[in-house]
Amino acid sequence: MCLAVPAEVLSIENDIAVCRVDRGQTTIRASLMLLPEPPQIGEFLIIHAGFALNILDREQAEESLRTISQDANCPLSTGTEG
Amino acid sequence: MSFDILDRFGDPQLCRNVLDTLARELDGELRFMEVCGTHTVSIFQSGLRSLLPEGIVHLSGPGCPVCVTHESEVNAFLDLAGKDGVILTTFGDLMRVPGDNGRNLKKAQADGARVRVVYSPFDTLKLARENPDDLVVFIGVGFETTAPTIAGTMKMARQEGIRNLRILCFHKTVPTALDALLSDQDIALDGFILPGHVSAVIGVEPYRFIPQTFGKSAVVAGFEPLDILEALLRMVEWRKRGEARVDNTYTRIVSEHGNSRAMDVMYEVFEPCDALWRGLGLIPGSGLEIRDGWVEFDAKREFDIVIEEGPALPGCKCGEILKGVKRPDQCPLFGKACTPANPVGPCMVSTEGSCAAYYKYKVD
Repeated sequence: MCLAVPAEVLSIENDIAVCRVDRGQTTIRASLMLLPEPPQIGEFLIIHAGFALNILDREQAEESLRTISQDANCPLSTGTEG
Repeated sequence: MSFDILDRFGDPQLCRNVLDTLARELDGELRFMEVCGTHTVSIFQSGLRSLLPEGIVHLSGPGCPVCVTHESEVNAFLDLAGKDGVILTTFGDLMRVPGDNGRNLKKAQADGARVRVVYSPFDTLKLARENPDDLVVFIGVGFETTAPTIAGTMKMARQEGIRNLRILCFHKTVPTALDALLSDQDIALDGFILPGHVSAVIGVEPYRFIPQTFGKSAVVAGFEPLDILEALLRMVEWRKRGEARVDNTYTRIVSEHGNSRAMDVMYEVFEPCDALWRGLGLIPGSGLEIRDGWVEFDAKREFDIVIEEGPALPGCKCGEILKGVKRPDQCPLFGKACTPANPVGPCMVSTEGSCAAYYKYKVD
């Protein structure tokens, strides 16, 4: 029930974002009323039950991957499978 | 930005390396509990559970909102279904949760009760607009991920002047439940994997009591395999050094203080109250109730609903399973009287329940 999905912001109108889920054509609408600041087009939101809860921070994602690869003593892969 | 960055959190080679490091670093046994139903499913679905080193013991905690909804709360919403002039709305997870005498919402719906499954609380606003002569009652279960969305919906309803929406509020909060779990002497744990999306709202700070008061570790984690493995690796390393800490490996979504806007909206509408949890009993301050200023939305007050501790379902071990004291397959009903097709207890009903995950992924 607490599953929240990442989705890419395609457009914004009246505090509602139209977002693309995964790589497909499926779009969902999400209220932005719970976000401290509005997102930009192309950013990723975490959406739960029709409300955006947060904006995904790409730099932090890259940093996490670097940390994990250091902890595992393994060069960072650039592969996309998985 | 593309989805590729997210895919990389499932990189098989990096997962293998972290698993090897985990096996190398592990010294003794590490008993960890995840307290989010989505983590439960992810750990099984990704195959991680079978790949973890033998010394890592995985327990599923009270992180599935459906599973912790108390029997008395289930009976309360089942009693409401079918009342004249009421349209009951819910997320789909609750439809098959059994109350007493084998009742559930699906059967009530078949018997003519007006029960509607919604994807978002938004949909309840639409229903309320379209049915002005009825009361549209939304069953509010879930933790800090869900509660702000219900609060937001109430704010929108007030703004629009919608007067026929009610919320049956059974929301619960995670940190208080963790405190209760850790205070239980029967539960032997080394650490928690903390829920990513609850933490997206509340942040990391509310978990600081875990090492400070109880000397246990905890890590906020995302839901991809590497998120979970990295959280385990940190706990293993801390234990090796004799430390207990809280950390956050889901920094791409979760900050130290969470989402202030979502918290403000949630606490504008709700306030803490005592709550009954299935299996855990009464936990002071662990629930949310509607504030006096929002009383016109409160279905509990409108229908005089009182939640009281009653007898548990006979034979069902969901309570002990939620505390990590028993595994699902140690319940005498598991896979026999209780299956996903005919669930007896809530842990078998919800797709995020540990019994359902055990059953689906056929864990030995």
